[in-house]
Amino acid sequence: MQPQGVDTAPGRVRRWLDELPVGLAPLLIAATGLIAGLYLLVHPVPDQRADLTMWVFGALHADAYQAAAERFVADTDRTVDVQLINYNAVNQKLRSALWAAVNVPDLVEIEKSAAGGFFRGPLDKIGFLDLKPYLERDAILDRVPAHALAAYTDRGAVFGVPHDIHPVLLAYRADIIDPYLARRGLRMEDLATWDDYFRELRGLLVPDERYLLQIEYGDAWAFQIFLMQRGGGIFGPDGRLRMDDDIAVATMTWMIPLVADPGDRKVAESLGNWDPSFYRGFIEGYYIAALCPDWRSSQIQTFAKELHGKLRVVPLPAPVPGGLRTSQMGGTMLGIARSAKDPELAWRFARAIYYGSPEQHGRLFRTTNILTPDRRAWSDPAYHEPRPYWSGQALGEQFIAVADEVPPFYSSGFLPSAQAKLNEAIVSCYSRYRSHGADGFEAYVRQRLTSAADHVRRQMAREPEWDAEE
Amino acid sequence: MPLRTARTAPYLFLAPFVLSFLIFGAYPIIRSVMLSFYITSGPEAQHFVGLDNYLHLLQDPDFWTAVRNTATFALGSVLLQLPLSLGLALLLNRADIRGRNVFRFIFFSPNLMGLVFSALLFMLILAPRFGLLNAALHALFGLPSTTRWLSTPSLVMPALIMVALWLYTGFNMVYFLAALQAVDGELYEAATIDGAGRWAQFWHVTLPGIRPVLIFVVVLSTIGSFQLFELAFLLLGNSSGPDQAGLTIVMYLYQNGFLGGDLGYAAAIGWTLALMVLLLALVQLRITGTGKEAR
Amino acid sequence: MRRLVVYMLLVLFALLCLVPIAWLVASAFKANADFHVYPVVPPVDRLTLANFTSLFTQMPFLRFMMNSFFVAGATVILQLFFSSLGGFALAKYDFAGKKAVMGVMLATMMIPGPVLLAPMYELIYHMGLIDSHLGLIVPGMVNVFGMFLFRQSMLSVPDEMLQAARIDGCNEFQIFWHVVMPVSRPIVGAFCLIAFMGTWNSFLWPQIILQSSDRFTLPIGLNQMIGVYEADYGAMMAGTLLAVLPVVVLFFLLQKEFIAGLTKGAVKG
Repeated sequence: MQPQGVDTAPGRVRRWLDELPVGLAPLLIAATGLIAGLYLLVHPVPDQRADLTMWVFGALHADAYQAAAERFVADTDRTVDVQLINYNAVNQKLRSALWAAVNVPDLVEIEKSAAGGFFRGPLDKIGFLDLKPYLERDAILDRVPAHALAAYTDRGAVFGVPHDIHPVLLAYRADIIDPYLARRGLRMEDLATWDDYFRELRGLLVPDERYLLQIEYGDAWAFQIFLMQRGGGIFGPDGRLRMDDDIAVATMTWMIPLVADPGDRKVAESLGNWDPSFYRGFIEGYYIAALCPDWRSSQIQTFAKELHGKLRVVPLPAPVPGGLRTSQMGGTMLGIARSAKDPELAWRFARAIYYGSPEQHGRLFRTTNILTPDRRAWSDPAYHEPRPYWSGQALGEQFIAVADEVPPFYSSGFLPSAQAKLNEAIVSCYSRYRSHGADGFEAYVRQRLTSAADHVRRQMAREPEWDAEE
Repeated sequence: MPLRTARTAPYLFLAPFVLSFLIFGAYPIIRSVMLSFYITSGPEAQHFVGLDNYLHLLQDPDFWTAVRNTATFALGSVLLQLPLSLGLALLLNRADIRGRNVFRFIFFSPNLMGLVFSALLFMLILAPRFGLLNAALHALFGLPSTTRWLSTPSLVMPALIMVALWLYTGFNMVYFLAALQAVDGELYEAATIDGAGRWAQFWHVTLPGIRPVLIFVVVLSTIGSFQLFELAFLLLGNSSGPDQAGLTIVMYLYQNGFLGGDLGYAAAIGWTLALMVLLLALVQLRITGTGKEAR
Repeated sequence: MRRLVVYMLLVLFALLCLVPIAWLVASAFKANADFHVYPVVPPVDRLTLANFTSLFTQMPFLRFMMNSFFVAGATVILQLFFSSLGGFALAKYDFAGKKAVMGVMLATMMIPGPVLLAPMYELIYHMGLIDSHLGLIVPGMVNVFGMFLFRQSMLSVPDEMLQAARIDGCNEFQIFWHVVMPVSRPIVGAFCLIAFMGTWNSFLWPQIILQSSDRFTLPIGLNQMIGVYEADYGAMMAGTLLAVLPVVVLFFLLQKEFIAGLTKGAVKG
């Protein structure tokens, strides 16, 4: 106990505090702010005025390019600042930067479905350089499957080079399916069509406990894979919307019953596409197979370690006998900004990271399972070594086997809108089928897809004829 | 001398606000209003369309979906959150309750999470089959654990309202608690002497006593609800949810501007929303008669 | 009996508030694979600190935290000063244009933030503040909500007090600082907490203008962990836990002032 009025140090502090008009709270906040400020003063951010700036949204990409940037400095004496940016932030920042015409990075990676949004407007005023001349000059065009460029080509100009192909295979629980098929004298490779697949595995189905395939029906992800496998798409090569054509109607009419049929006729289910419950469902055998682009195989490896040695991949069963055994999902492009100070230098770095040595791509494949579109690299041993996680399969060979058949994906500035409309249509078709069954379902699907597409067409009709103006 | 300084003083004191508003408010606002008369794509691709963005907006079914969703959320939030906050405040305001500070702290604590972190948390809690909520509903009430909260259209809004309820109830409770503590205790005594029951006391003493705070909270909650974006967007995995069931007005603005690339149309959406909110706030104030007695 | 019911209700609601938070804490110590195996708490031997180690090795987490503290500290102090000053002017003076100022303040609260993003970006760029903490602090220097809060609370300061101070020879700023602020101390506490939480959790704007990861604040840094195709949920939960901790501590310290402040601010609608 301090006697009152004695001028001790704590007493002085207390009195000073009492006299201060603002009280303790701001003092506390100011003190932490000050300490943090001092810390930042002592550890200043290194000045990164590099010759090239690059925005990247994937952590693994960023690591790889950082290493490449170090080699680039050694080779050319030019520096590259690789900035890792959250996926959504890339779109926001690039949009703001392009619009304000300031602070645009020299190189930027963009996710496939967002790319088209950046290709609107007059050709000569789009924020990205046409890379076709570079691709032709350096003879890269024939090293890359043509379909890989489709999404980034608009009115003949190539605004981005593809980082990947992302073929889709079927990843399945070999520990459950293979013994079952073996007892019946079959192998997974014998199931050539989806009909075969669901018919032959029927005995494994246990409603509410075990489904034959993971198909998400809350968004268009799985639907797009099936759609492209059948040769359809949201947009056609000429920028025309085709999400309501016969192929789309047939795909929808086929897919929805798989997840919406009652009782034991329902063969597929989903627990979400991205969060941990997807992996959990796979681990617990709630579904025993999943559509698997190359990048997803690496996610499964990371987040479902328990499945080590229990999974295999096979080509997708075809929609019809002799049909396509793969599809396509996702992707990343690299673009060079029109405002780049030194496009030639930017291209050199782009070439170094996208079309570098086979070993470099092999390393990428070992860490990410992502197959490069650069054919020259496919001979690297990394693609041909057995993977214990995948029951000893040579994972790379599996993806390479279908790589040339991957269907092209066509982008558009109206893709986000069309995708949103498609999501809606899927959900409506699902509930319609649940309530009315197969009765008149196809007619409903056609009408629903058409109304969704018409909505997007109305939006597209507002688009000014950019190139005609001036 | 003091009189003269007293005359200039308020202008000096307000100068920081006025200056900051002129730079960071007025300029972007004008710029953005102008933008709303164009279809845009990139810096140099602007196509003047006059009021066409606004006219198209009025016939845009997606916009109305967004309006409907946002209004549902606002209504759900205000009608569930505020009575619940008030109820909790009333319970906590009883003199015979021990540990009031502890309860107060607990009720407020969800708010400390902030909405970004809450969205990340609830994304996992609401997962089907393995998520905490389904696991709990299954264990306690035997409900099926396969409920897909965030991918079933009819459940998206309830889920969002639920998360908002968790996040903001405690915060509003603090307002009400503060207001309740300021109600004159003698009024209650007088009411008791007059033989007023609990309900009558609540109706004739408590409510009038906290009325200003009540109105303040209602208006603020409404404005906040109508600007819902980040919580829904992050919770639905950066999308508008199945069947656009989680599409809010600001999210639609974001989609058009930052994904579709037309900042002009996005601006038109934004200003239409601002107008709607303004009207709504004015109506609320008019209904509650606040305008008349405001000092 | 009645009291028992009240307690039961309170405890029930307290549980509803706490369970998600408890789950967050438990998740921060869970391996990714265990996330959904043990919905609540896994057995002790499955608990792990791996999420925290990966948090600190994967990213400059300490740096994010310092950035957040610096930005929040500077913003709150500036907002506190300018908002209370402005609130004081609006509460205690009659002057031409007062109505207009209040009208503008109300109107700005109606404007959805994203609609101004692009022009703001342009503006901040031309001020040379892209990718800087100043770009976060400067545009948010005056908090309109805070001005309203301070105005409401200062309305109740009797005019006689100000008059007396003037007679004592105080100038107007001294009146504000030495007479009005001390009696508004509770509202200062309340405002500090609200403003701190607002800045600490601020997301959209920092995400757009910050570029170097060395300058990221916590929400931006943590959100970075959710890629398009990848997400380390365990580390994210650990990061969330650490990010929320300072706010909890602050609230704990300021609880009394916070409530008292709102009482004072709220009495007069």
